[in-house]
Amino acid sequence: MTQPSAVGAILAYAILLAGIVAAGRDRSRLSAPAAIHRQRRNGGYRFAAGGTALVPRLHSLFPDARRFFVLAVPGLVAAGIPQLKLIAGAMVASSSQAAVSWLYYANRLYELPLGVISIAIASVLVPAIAASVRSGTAASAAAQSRGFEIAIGLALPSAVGFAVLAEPIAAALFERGAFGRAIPQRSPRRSRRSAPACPATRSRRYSARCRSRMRTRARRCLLRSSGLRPPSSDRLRCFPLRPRRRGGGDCDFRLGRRDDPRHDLAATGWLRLDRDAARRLPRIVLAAVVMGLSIFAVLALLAPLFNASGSLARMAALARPGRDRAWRLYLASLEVLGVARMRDLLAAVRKPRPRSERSSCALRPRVMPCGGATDEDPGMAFKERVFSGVQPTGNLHLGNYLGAHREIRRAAGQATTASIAWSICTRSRCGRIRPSCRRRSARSPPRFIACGIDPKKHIVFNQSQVAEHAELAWVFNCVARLGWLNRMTQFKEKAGKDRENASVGLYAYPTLMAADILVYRATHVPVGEDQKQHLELSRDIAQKFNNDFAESIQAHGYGDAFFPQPEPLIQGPATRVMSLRDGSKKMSKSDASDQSRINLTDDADAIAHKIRRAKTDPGAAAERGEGPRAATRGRQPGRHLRGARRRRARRRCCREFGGAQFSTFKAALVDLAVAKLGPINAEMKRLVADPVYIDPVLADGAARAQVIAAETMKAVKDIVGFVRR
Amino acid sequence: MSLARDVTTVGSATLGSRLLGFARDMGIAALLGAGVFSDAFFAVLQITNFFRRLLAEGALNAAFVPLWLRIKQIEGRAGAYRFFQQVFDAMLLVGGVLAAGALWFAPALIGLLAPGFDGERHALATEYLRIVAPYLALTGIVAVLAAALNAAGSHGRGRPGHGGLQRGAAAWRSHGSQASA
Repeated sequence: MTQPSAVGAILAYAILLAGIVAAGRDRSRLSAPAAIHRQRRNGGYRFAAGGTALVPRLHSLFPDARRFFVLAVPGLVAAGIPQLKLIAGAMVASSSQAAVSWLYYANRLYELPLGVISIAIASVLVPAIAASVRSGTAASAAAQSRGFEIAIGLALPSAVGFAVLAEPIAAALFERGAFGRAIPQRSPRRSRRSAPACPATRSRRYSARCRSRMRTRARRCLLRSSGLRPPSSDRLRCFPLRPRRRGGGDCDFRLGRRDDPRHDLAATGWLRLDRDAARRLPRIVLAAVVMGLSIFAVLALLAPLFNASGSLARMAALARPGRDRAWRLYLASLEVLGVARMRDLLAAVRKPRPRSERSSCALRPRVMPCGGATDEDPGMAFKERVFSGVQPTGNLHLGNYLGAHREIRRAAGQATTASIAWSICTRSRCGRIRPSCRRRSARSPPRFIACGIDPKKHIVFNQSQVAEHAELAWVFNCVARLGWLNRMTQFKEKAGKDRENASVGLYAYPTLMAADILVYRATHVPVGEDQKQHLELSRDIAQKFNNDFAESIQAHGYGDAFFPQPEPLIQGPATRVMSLRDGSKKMSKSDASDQSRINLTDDADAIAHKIRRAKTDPGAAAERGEGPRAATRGRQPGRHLRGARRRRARRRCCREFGGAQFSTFKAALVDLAVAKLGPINAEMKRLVADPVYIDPVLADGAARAQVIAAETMKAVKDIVGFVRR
Repeated sequence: MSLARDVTTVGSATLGSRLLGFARDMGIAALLGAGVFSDAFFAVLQITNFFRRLLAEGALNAAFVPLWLRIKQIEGRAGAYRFFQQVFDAMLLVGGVLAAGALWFAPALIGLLAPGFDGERHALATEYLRIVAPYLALTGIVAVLAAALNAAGSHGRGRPGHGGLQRGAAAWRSHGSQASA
């Protein structure tokens, strides 16, 4: 019966193999004849007349592949050694009944903690150590010591646990089904024997002591195979005993990376441990021993239970001392011995709150040293600072007020003094420079101030008065990538079809905007929807700068990151206020029709007039047969005006104006708008009428802004290596 | 202390996967126990495991990708493709020879790898080895294909997992056949 099934399986595999081979070869058949020609010319393949039969000449058959194998084989062998060891174990064990199986189960058991630790070390510690190696011997020794402590601190208790609990563990885990009650008696002992393999120390003394306890030759070989060389020890061996030569060429075959830490470490030589490690390691060992002894005691107490009951009770009994108490005990003894405090361990293990969770809108006034980034979380180290820029285009309108200014004011109220910089971006104006700029920018600050920004508490200034913006923008021009700027939708919109004729300034404008924000290392930026993409770019630039110059930033003592990632302050209900004339468009200050927006300069009559003439959405209402009520949900200006202006939940608006005429609603709206905008109007008019007021304010603002900007720029020059005075 | 946190993150992820593997082992233990069948099964499993670790767990990837990228840089796409072809063919050749050898010399191989097996266990292990022999050829090819995809697609970022799946399939075959036998 077995013979046909084996033949069938072989047949199935042959078919599968043929399929895969055909798929692989087909690509070469389909590939361009030129490739085949080149292969022929290079002495790769010799095609016979039929074009199908390959006539191999072994030395020239696979020239490239030979290089590959020369490179790969040492790495492959290194990867295979742990497995070879297991095969050797199986070879030795094969002579006694069921020993191969026991060996396998025991291997699985101790590979459980070992694999976790070694993989974690390989993927986390090795890069960390590699990074530290570059910064000097002391840092390298510290990183190696911490890594060693973590490895020993995790592996040793596991080893002790296996050694003490081997029998119940194996019984509880495997003893069911075909794995009879009588058989596992020997498996746990194997698990115990291989427990020394757990700590990667490969302590020869330990294994020698165990070896003396061995009775049969098979067991001795078993221990030698598993104890002398833990399966993943080659991964743990990030500390080479002597420098290794690279395997030919400049390609490293082991990790496939040039910055293989092992080579860096090879330069520094042996494993270096610092004084702290020398102090802690013995205590870790002691703590593990304490843990082992107490488990042993608990086990002795529980022994009657084991004998009396079945497998489930065993499992429960095992779980409690094994998982809970033992670890707690271990941690407690670590604490008592002064190796590590539980609180610190928990804090180290706990994840930091993701950045996005930290509210973007609610500003918590928190003052932190501006430059001193700690290792813990670079994002936390930046002083919270809101930056907002306004182009002096035309007039501020209702959308600006609702969208940005109100929020700015709210944020300004919460933030600490001078933590906010407001700039009026005169220079750029989206890459166009006109004499009218001056007139316009002279009109902007009063509006800003009239909206409730206190120029004493905050900084209101003109961008063109602070030269550092342009300086940093150039650095960012070198950091930002063409591809990023090509994606900016605003450029596409503004340049339109006449792309070739657009100015470079318009194209590079987003990097200037990034510089505007980051020259103050602002953490929050109130933006509307349309500017979100630019803010994203600023974040990208900040990130790339931090990455590109990471070493330099570190070397100059700015921690992990120099620039913060500015977060958007997305506003409340009315982020998008629609045009009064066309409900599908945004209210815009550059709209040709003045009727489409409510300017902040409009007086009460004008506001009333505009709202009265505003387009509503009767179509949608009529379609649904609900009267004006439906319009409150439709895509039309009324909804946005109402929802936002009254600062009420939309539902309440609906209830209030549900069955009413549009005229009723509009009347209420006019009242509200006049009440809100009236004071702003009056204040603005007063400020504009007083030309002596605004210039000193701006000069003062610029001076204060420049202090911050100059500080940043000085650091940036140091970091990127510009010579400065 | 962020080091400890990172170790915990990676370690716990690995622990999850290990626990799943452990659950599988518990199942195998319950199904096969420790006896004649399981001895033969595990002895042969070590062989496939050896090749899995050798080829499918990244070592080959680490050798292939940098070389591929360098050849591509120097000689362009066609050169890189030729390189892939040659490695693929060479791997096929080596794997095929190994697989054929394992098929043909299965009894001798088992005699070498498990010298202590008596008649019944030897016969069983020989049969299992014949069943999993093609894996030796397949895993090399798949590893090369995966490495090439890796190099062409994401330039060196590892994408583990495929090997485990395939090996699982092979093990399952031998397992199923064992159960029927």
